[in-house]
Amino acid sequence: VVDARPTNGLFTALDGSVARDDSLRMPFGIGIDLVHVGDVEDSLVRFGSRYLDRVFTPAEIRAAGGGSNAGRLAGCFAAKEAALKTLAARHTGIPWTSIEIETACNGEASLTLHGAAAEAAERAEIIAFELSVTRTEAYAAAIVLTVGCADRSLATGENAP
Amino acid sequence: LNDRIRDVIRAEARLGVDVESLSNEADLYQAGMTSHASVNLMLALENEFDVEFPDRMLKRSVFESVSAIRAALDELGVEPA
Repeated sequence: VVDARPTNGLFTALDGSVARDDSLRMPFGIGIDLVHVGDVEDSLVRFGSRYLDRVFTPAEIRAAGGGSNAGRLAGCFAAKEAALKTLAARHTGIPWTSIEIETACNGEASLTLHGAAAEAAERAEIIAFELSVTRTEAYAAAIVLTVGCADRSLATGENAP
Repeated sequence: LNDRIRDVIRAEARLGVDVESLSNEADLYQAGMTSHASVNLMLALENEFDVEFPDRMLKRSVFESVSAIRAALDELGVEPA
């Protein structure tokens, strides 16, 4: 039997009430995104290189055949958005190009953060990212899992008296 | 200016509802705008108002409502027509 305990420190006490113990919080985060490949094709037709250059890095564009592989670009975009969600930085300017997606020969995807995205990850005390991307002819989806500081409460001092 | 912003939203944001039914403060993401549609919205706003959103403005909160977009365009010096 696996104990599927939530990672946010919430637990149900014996009297049925929900309480929170920050020492039970686990330092994980997760983000997901789904992109319609047709939407990417549409943006390529309408905005061309402006769309490519604002969203994708030169290496990503090269890997997508100069922009001809909309499915690959859709996977990249989904991965970027999934990563953005884990950074919880709604009010921070983070260009899409500061999150770079690379796919190895074996199909395994990884991400590298630059500039504003790297700074946001540091502020969020994220020390590792795991990325998984999948796609069909019509859709691409990505999930990003983050691992933070082992003892976040100590690192942030949020439990300090 | 808000009418022109609403015209761009209508064309780009692919909302599940008519943009006219939304207040200036209504959350466009809640109304169905996807993250990818927000890229089109940004690029189309740049075309419409002849501006370029700098990196510091590339954040979710800038494109989340008519009033947020209006504030960003004000900051970029766009004058009401």
